[in-house]
Amino acid sequence: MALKTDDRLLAPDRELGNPDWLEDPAITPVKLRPPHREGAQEHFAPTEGDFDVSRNKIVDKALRSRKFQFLLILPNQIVFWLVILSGLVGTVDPNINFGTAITWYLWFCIVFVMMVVVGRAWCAMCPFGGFAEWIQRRTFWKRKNSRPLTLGLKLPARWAGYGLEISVVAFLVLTWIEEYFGIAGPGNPRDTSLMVLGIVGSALIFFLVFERRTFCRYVCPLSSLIGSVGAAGTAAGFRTRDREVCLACKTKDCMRGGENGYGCPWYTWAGSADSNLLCGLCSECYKSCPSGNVGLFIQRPLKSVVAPVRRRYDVAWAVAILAGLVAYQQVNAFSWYAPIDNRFNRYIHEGLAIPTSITHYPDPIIYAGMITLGALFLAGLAWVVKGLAGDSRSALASGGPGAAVSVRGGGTALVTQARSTFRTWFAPIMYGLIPAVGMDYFSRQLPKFFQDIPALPLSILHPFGFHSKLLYHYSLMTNWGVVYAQLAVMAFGTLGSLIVMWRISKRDLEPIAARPAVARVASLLVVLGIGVTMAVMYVPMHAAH
Amino acid sequence: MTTLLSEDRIGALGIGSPHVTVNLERCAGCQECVIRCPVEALSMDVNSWKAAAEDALCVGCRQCTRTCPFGAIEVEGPTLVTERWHAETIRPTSLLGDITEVHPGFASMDEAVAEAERCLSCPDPTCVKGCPAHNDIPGFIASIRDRDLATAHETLRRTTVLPDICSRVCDWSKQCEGACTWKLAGTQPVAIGRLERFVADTESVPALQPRSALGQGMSVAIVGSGPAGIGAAWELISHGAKVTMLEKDSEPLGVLRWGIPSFSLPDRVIDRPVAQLKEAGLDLVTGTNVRPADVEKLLQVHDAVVLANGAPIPLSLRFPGADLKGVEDATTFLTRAKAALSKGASLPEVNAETRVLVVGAGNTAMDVARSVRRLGGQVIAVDWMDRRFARVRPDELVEAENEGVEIRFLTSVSKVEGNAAGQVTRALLVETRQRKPGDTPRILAGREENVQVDLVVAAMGYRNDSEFGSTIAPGTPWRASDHVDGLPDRRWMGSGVFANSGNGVGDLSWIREIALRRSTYPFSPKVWVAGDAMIGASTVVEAMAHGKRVAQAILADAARN
Repeated sequence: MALKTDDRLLAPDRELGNPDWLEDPAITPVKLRPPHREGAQEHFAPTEGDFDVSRNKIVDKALRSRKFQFLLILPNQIVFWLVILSGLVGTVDPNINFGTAITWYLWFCIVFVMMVVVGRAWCAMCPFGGFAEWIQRRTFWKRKNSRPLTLGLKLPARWAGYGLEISVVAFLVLTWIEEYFGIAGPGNPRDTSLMVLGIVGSALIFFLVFERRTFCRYVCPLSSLIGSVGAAGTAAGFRTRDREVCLACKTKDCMRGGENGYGCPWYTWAGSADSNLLCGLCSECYKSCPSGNVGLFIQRPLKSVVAPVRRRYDVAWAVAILAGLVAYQQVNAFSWYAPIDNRFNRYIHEGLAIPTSITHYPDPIIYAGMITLGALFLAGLAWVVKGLAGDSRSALASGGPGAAVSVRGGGTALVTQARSTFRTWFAPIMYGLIPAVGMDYFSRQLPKFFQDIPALPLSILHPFGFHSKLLYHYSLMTNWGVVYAQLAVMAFGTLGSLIVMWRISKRDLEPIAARPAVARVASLLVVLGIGVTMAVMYVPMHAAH
Repeated sequence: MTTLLSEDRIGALGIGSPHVTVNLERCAGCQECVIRCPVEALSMDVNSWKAAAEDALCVGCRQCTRTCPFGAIEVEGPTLVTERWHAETIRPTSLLGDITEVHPGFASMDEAVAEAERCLSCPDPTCVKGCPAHNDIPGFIASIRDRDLATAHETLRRTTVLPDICSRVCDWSKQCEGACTWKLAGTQPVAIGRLERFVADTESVPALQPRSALGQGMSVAIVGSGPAGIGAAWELISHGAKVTMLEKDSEPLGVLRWGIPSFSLPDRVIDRPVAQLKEAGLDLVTGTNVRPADVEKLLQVHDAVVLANGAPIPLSLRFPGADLKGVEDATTFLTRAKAALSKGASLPEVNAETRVLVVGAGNTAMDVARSVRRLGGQVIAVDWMDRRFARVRPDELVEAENEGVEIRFLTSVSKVEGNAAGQVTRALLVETRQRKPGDTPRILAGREENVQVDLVVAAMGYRNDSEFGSTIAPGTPWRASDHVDGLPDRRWMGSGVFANSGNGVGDLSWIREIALRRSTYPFSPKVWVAGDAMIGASTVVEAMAHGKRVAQAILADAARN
C-alpha cells in the first residue's frame, strides 16, 4: 500500500513493531517471576570460553551474514555430489575414481583432524545436514517466516533420552556396512556413491519429518564421534558473553528464532552451554540474539573434556563403545587374527546353531559382541578403579563436587547422572579416554592418507582424459613411516588423556574416593594402559588399511 | 488463591493428578517455564541446571509445555481447576415483542468471586494477548477476588472505555477466553466476559476523568461515533484535547445503535459512553455526512482528523431478483425492527405467517433472525459456509436455534422470484460444499430447493467506504492479513499463546495485533484511520482499541513536535 511521502509521517509502512513511545498494553500485565540465579556463575565459570573471536569485526561481519554458512557448505556440497556422480558413472578403479579417492583418502582424514583440533567444525559445513536443511527451510540462506517443509515432529522423549547412543548405533551400523561391502577399502566406487546417497537420503527424510536438526543431533552416524572426540577441540562454540543478560532475557530469540536468525537447530542454549558437545557452529543464535550477547569462543585444547560439571552418561558410553569399535578394527587387522575369527564364526553359527547368511567378515554377532565386550571391559576397568580407591559415602550424600547428582521429578536420562555409584566413576574415566580414542581413530586413517593420497590428483584429472599412472603406486611414506606416525599420534593422544585424567581425577574422583591418591593413580594407569595398548597394536598392524 | 478441585473431588472423579516429565536431554535450563509457572511447581535443579517439577504442586495448566522453546516438558493427566460457572440463557415464555436481555450475569458477588478464583493470575497471561484491547484481565479479576470493584474499574479503564458493551457483544471464544490458559490446556476457560460484565453492571462505569494536559490546545475531528470514534474521543478528551465528533446519522453510536438488538445490548448500556463524553466536553454533531473532499477542510480547522466511519456499506446480493420488493439489507431491517420492538409494536409486513429468509448466518444475521422471531415471524437463515467454520458466536447460534430459527449451513441462494407486483415470493436454494476453513464454498449442481418467502434480508456482512480509501491512501481497506510477513513479537511467542493453536486464537490475536499497531501510523499527514474504516468489518472491541491507539499516537506526535 502506498503512502504519500511526508516528513510528518511517523514511520514507514513496513515497520510494524510497537512504537517505543507508546506503552504496550499487551506486555504491561506480564509479571514474570525472576529467574533462578543462585549458583549460575559458579556453576558455569570453569567452562566459560577463553577468547571471543567474534569481537573481531571481520569475524563478526562474516557470522552475521546469512550467506556465510551457505558459502561454507557449498564447496562440500559440490564435492559430495561429484562423489556420488563419480561413483555411479566414473571409473571402477577405486584408486583413481574421484569419489572414492577424495572420500577415503582425504575427507575421512580431514574430518578427524577437524574433530580433535576444532570440534564440530565439520558440522558447520556438512553437506548432508546442510542440504536437507536448505530443503526444510525452503531457502539457501534467507530467514524465512513461512512454514518450513517438514512435519515438524519432535523426537519422542523416550528416544531423546538416549542422547548420543542412537548416533553411536548408527555409526556402528554404517561401519559394519562399510566393512562388509569393503566400501572404505576403498572398494567399488558405486558402493561409496550409494553409501553417500543413503546418508543424504536418510538426512532428508529426518529433516522432512522432524523439526530443526533432529537428524544431526540424534541420528547422524558422525555426531557421536564428533561430539565426544570433539571435546578435545579448541572451538568452544557459541556461548553467552554475559550470563546475566541471558537469564534476564524474556524472549530467548536464540532458541525460538528472531528476525535475523532461526532458533537453534541443535536444541542448545548459549546461556547454559558448558561444552562444545552440541554446538554445530551454525551461528543462528549469534544472528538472532537481540542483545548482541552471544560470542564465538575458542578455548584451550581439552577444556571441554575436563571442565563440564555435568558429565553426560551417554557421552561416557559413546566413548566406551567407540573405543571398542576401533579396537575391534585394529584386532581384525592383525594377520594372525583371521583364523581365530573363522573359528569364532564356526562356533557361533554351527556350534550354537545360529543361522546367518553372512558369509564373510564381519560377522554381525562377532562384530557386536566384541565391541560390547570392549565397552564392558572399559566399564569393568572403571569399576576396578572404584574398588581400589574405595567410595566415600559421605561425599556422595552431601552432593560434593563430582558426586552423583539427582534430578527431582521428571524423567531420568542417560544425559545426567542419577544417584549411581557406577556412573560417578565410569563417566569421568571415560571422559579421560577421549583424547586417546580420538587419536586412535585419527591414526586408523593415516595409512590411507600417506600411502594413497598421491592418487588423488590422478583421480581429479582422470575424467578429463589424463590416464597416466605416474603417481599411482607412489606413497608419501613407507609402511614403517606410517607406523611411526601412528605411534606419534597415539603418544600425543595418550599424553592428552593423561593430562585430562590428572585434572578430572582431582576434581571428580578424589573427593569421592576413600583413598584419593589411589583413585588418581589407578585412573591414570587405566588411560595410560589403554593408550599404550592401542598404540602398540599399530606395530603388528604394520600400516594395514 | 485459585480454586482447585479438592482431593475428595479428584478421588470421586477418579481422574488422578497431573504428572510432569522434563526431558532432561533436551532441557537447556533456560527457565522459560520456571518464570511462567503460575503455581511455582517448576524450579531449577542447580546441580544439573535443568528444570525440575513438583507434581504435587502442578495444576495441569500446561503453560510450561506451551512456552518451552525446545518442547522439553510433557504434562499428562487432568487439569485440577473447579468447574466453570454456568448460567442458562433467559428464555422468555413468549418471544413475541420480548426484548428482555437474554444473557444473565452473575447473581451475586459470591458467585462472581467463585468464578474469579478459577483464574491462575498467570505471570505471562495469554488472555491479555487474546483480548484485542489487551485488558489487564488477571488484574481486574484479582480485584474481584478482593471484592474491590472500584479498583477493577480502574484497571479496566486503562485499556477499555466500553466494559459494559464489550462484555455483552464480544466473541470471547475467539478472544480472551479462547486464549485463557485453561482453555489452551483443554478445559473450560475462566468466564472472563461475564466477570467484566459483573464489574460494569454492579458498579457504575466511572465518568471520564482527566489524566493529563498533554493534548491541551489541540483540536481533533473524529468522523463517526461508533466504537472507534468513542475510543479515540475518550482518550483525547482525558488528555485535554478538544474533540468534535461528526456523525452522519441522526443519532450517535453507529453499529451499536442500529446493528445490535436490545435483547443483546440494552439501550441503557449503549447510551452511557456518549453521555459521559458529552459531559466531559465532546462536541457531537449529528446528521453530518463527511465526504472525502471535506477532509481537507477539516484539516484547516483541526490539528488532526480521525476517520472512524466504520464499515457501513452492506455487501450486496448478486443473484437475480435482488431488486424485488421485500428484499432489503440488514441495516435497514434492524433499524426498523429495533424501533418497532422498543415501542412494543411490530412491522406491518411481519406476522405469524410471514416467512423471512435471512441470507447469511453471522452475528448480524442472528440478530436479524431473532428479531424476526420477536416480531412474530418465521425465519430461515442460510449460509454457504460449513457450520464448523462459521464465524458466528457459538452461543448466539445455539440461542437462535433454541428460539426457533431454522439455520441451514452449506446452503446458498441462487435466485429469488416475485409476483406480478414485483414482490418477492420464493427463493431457490442450492447446496454447497466447503472442505477447509479458507476455501470458497462450491455450489453443487442439481441440489436445489424452492422455498416460499415473503421477505429477504441480506446479512452477509459489511464493507467500509472505499471512496475514502482511494482519496486518502490508495489501496485501502488495509487488511491485516495482507501484512503478516513479519515474525510475531518474540514476547508473544514466549507466552505460548501460539502453541496448541487448534483453536487458532493465537494466530487470530496476532493478526488483530498487527492491525492495531498499524493504526498507530497515519495514512496521510495528520489523518488517521481507525476501526472498521481501516480493516473492514470487525468487532466492537477491536474498533475501540484502534480508536484509543490512534488517539495515543496523535498525542505522542503532538508532544514530539
